[in-house]
This record gives sequence, C-alpha cells and structure tokens, in this order.
Amino acid sequence: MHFDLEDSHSVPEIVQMLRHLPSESEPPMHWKEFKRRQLLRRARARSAQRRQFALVAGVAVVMIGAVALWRYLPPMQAPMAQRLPTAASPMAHRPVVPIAWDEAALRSVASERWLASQPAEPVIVRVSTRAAVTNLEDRIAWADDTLTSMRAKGGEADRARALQYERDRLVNSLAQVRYAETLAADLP
Amino acid sequence: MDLLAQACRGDEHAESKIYAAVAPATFALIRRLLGGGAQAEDVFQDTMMTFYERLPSFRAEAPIGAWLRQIAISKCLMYLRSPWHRARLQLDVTPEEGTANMEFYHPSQPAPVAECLDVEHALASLSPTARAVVWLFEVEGYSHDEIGRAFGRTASFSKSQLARAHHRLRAWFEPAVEPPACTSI
Repeated sequence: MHFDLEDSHSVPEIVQMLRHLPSESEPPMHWKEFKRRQLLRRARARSAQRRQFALVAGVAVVMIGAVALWRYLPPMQAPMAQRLPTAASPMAHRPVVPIAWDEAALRSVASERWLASQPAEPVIVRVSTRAAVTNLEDRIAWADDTLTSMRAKGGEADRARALQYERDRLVNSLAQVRYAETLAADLP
Repeated sequence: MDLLAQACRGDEHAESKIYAAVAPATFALIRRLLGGGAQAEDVFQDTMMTFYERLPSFRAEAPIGAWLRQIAISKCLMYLRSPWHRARLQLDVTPEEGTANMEFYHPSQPAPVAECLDVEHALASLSPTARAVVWLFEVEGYSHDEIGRAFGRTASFSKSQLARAHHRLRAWFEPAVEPPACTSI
C-alpha cells in the first residue's frame, strides 16, 4: 500500500497512516503446510527428548560403573591374598566370616543364576561399563583359581571362606553392573 | 463457538477453518513487529502452534482474535529479547555508526526515491526494536510502562525509542529537508 506523503510529514499523520495499514496479509503457508511443519517440529521435539533420556541413562550407567570400579580398585593395588588374614596373624583369632556371609552367599547364587540367563555380551556395549565388567570378571576368575588351588592343597579353611565371601561380593557387583546395562539398553 | 469446541476436540477441519480466519491478521501483526523474512515465518509457526496447544484452555472472556494477538505479541517480544537476536542486530550495524544509533537499520539508499515513499518501507527502515515500540505504542495502544516491562527495560527506554523512531520516520519522508540524526541525546 502506497501513500502520497508530499504534504503530510507530521508525526500524527504518519501514525494515522500506520493505523490504516492493511490489517491482514497472506500467511506464509497454507493449512496443510502448517500441519506438516507442526508434525515435523513435534517429531523433532520427541526425538530430542529421547536423546536426553538416553544421555541420562548413559550417564547413570557410567556412574554405576565408576562406583563399582572405585569400590574394587583398592584391592587391585594390593593383592587380595596379601590382605587376607593368615593363621599367624592376629586376625586369625577374630571371626573371619562376616555376619552377612549367608546373605551374601545366597545373593551370589541368585546373581550367578541371573547372570547365566543373560547373553554373553550386552545389547549395547559401552566402553565405560565394559571396563568395569571385564575387571570384575577377571577378579572372579582369579578368585576361582585361588579357591581351587586352596581346596586342592587343603587347610587354610578360614582364608578360603574369606576368599569365597570376596568372590560372592564380586559376583553380586557384576550382576548389578550387568543389570544396569540391561536397563539402559531397554530405554527408548 | 461450535467451531471452537470442535477444534478443542481435535477436529482438523474445524482447526483449518479457524486457521483460515485468524492466520492473515496474525501474520500481518508479526510482520509489522519483526519485518518480513524467515524469522517472521518461524515466529508465526510458533505462535499458531502455541495457539492450538492452548485452545482448550481458552475461556472466551475476550475475542479469540485478541487472545491470539496477545500470544503473537508475546512471541515477537520473546524473539526480540533473545540474546541471539540481539547479537545479530549488533553485527548488522556498521562500526562507524557507533552504539548510539545501533537501534536503527539504515536503508541502503539514504535518499528514498518517490516510489519508496510508503509507510511500509518507512516502518521497515526502523530496527526491529524501534519498529516494535512504535507499533505497540501507536497502534496496539500499549503504554510506555508496559512496553518497557515487555522489553525488560524502563519506560524511559520506550520513550526514547519512540522519539528516535518518530524522528527517523519524519526524516524518511523529508530526506532533503532534514537528514536523519545519528547522535543520541
């Protein structure tokens, strides 16, 4: 819309012309195009939300892995066998088997059963948790070897029970990490 | 009201009829506040999406057009206040203009030719902020206090923007008599 403004230069007149500008203009898109873009935006928003959930789940898995590593890292620096009480040490007179022995053993049996039902590898292999899982599996294998050799030699019953207890704890931790991995893989 | 009720229930036919009725005025308003271009289209899309999302909560206390206008103005002001937009606005200004005149866009041709002497072009020569202030004050009837609050500033900000915009508009129509001032008061 054009105005001839040669004789009208004052502000009130300009304001009047502003008010008389057309109040409608052709929308940039028709209804179908608007609907298409609306669906597209909603789909994008949903996908962004899914990515956020996946990120949160990933962070949770990493944190669980890190906690598991942190809990079992000190024994790696000092070999477990050295830390176990020997017959000559003063620890030998203290009860070696913790109070929660039965509970840990039972949980370990259940955890092993559950682990056996799981595939060898998780659906989504994550580097962070993979390291924790490998570490735990290695240490369980080491405990198994040591226990086997102890039983073959005979004696050292207290040390064997303590080692068995440690092994049960490792199995439970492994089950926890694998369970967290399974949960993360099931998230959308 | 039947159409509204149907649209609230998700009837696409009713929604399309409402769209046909309200979209032209809404887009005109957004274009006045933001100028043309992709940003006006984006804000229009956003406004209409919000409109349909909030439609079930519309209580018919005011005309639906006025309600939608409020949504559109609010979206435009959000856009103008966004740091991204403000940064872009600063980049658009040539360095020699300085900060005093940063709020104005400068037309590529300082002396507008006769065929450009129309209000649309004069309005387009203002910066988005100044244009929004002029439009909200002169046409939509907002007070300086309301405009200041909407921009997160004071009423003085609105007054100074308006005064400079008036000056600019007058200069646009009278380029030979008084060139546009480039210094702030």
